[in-house]
Amino acid sequence: MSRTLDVAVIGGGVSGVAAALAASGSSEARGVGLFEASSSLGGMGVRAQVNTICGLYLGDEQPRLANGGLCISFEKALRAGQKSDGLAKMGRVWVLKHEPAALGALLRSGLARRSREIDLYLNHQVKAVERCADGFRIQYSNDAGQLHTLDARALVDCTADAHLAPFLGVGRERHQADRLQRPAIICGIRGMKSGALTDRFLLTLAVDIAKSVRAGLLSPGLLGATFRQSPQPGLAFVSLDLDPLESWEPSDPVSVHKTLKEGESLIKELFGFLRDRYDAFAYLEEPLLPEVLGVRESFQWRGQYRLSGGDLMSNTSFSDEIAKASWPIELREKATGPSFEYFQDPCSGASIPVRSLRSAYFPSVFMAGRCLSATHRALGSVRVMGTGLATGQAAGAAAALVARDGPTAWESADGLAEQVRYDLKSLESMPPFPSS
Amino acid sequence: MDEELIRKVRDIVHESVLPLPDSFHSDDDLFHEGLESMALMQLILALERELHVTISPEDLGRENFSTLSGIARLVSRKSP
Ligand SMILES: Cc1cc2nc3c(=O)[nH]c(=O)nc-3n(C[C@H](O)[C@H](O)[C@H](O)COP(=O)(O)OP(=O)(O)OC[C@H]3O[C@@H](n4cnc5c(N)ncnc54)[C@H](O)[C@@H]3O)c2cc1C
Repeated sequence: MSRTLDVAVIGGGVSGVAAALAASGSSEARGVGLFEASSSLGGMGVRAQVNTICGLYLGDEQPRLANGGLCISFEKALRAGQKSDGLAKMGRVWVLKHEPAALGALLRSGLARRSREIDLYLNHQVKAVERCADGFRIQYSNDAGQLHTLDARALVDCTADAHLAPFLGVGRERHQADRLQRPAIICGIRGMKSGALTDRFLLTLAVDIAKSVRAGLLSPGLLGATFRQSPQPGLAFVSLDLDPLESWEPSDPVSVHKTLKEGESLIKELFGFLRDRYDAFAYLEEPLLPEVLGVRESFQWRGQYRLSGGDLMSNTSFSDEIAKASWPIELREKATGPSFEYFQDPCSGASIPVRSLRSAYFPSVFMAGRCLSATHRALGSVRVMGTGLATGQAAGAAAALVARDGPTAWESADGLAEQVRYDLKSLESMPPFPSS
Repeated sequence: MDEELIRKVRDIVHESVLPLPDSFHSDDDLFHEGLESMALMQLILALERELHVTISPEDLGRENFSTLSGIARLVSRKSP
């Protein structure tokens, strides 16, 4: 007989790490397992080289953290650990730029400090989940491809694609396939002249690229390449939204692979152009390619409540609030670039109810990050990493309570949310992320 | 300042790159509203196409591109 975990978190992106940390700290959990299919933590924020954390802050003049709990020590540690402060204003909102490897290392150090409570299964992919007497039986494969099983009382799906729903035999939700947010490729740039990326130079690049595309000197797919300096000296990133060639299917590995390859060839073309044309880029190294394609939107769970764009825009306040969204609704569906819709009251953020993190079918299954229950528009806001940390920690804390007391004890969303808020507050006195 | 031209610029921005709320004023900051390089590239091409001007790298600079009135001033300087 294998032992039974209290909480199994599937997926080790920012939301999954936050879920595991909160599940292990907020109640006397008897065991938390975190399963990650790849060899690293951080998901999109590390392997796709997403390099800006959005949704951490509220406020216009001065940034204030939108959420408490783990977010406090996370933000402090990430800022302190970087060569230069990554705090910056993008449009009307504050962001924290990060270096992907530094994010991965920080998440790992947070888990290492809780290694007695959390079993980390890196390189372990969950292949199937079924219901059993104690809750759920998880089947996963190890590095060598061997299958194992483990039982857990409660689950948190942080796979970004709601993978656990089909495993458990229920449907996932998804926006119209041809109206999904566009995927993107993000590559590191090394070997440019230091200090080259001034505002003015960025504008020059934008015009040159646009005109070269129009003159037929560059592929149209390069229209929209966006450059950003990293807090790591000598490193910058370029990101390019892609128009997948055929029908885009984010859950089909073949479609994802084709799109990534298409992106890589565009980036190589761009690097050639930059090297030939600008002194600052004359000694550009080969692009630092991402491990995975940047997928912005795929499937979500059906939760007890599906958060909508209207809820966010009007700052609807829910009595079972467990986190605040602060990023505007950012939609990147069209080749003309993104659109941003700011909440009516941007200073107070928008409320996320615990019901949108709890499965409509299984009261002991929670979800966070990119696969929580939200409409296409709402997801344009809540998918960002800062909000993912906040929904992750709330889902982890909720799952720990349900594992300890059984789902019926926590049937009421208001009661559950109140205890989750309390538990997350107590986490602040034992921060998992190192303070210096 | 040419109100007619500002309105045209506003329509181009609104239609082709960045949906603007009604409350957005011609001296409000476009970068603040979320204009970024992808949108900027599209905007330059749209301005050249619709208003028959040629924008060159020397015209760049936040002072010209950060507001609707700044863009309108640039366009009227450039118009034949
Ligand atoms: C191009 C692009 C640009 C973006 N820009 C920003 C930005 O500037 N700022 C920002 O804050 N956000 C940005 N985002 C959004 C953000 O990066 C993601 O939404 C967020 O990182 C999602 O976090 P997550 O924890 O939900 O999922 P992920 O980070 O995707 O992590 C999911 C993890 O689950 C694992 N997994 C999946 N299935 C299994 C399984 N069966 N078993 C075990 N493990 C599994 C995966 O390997 C992965 O590591 C961007 C996204 C993209 C694509």
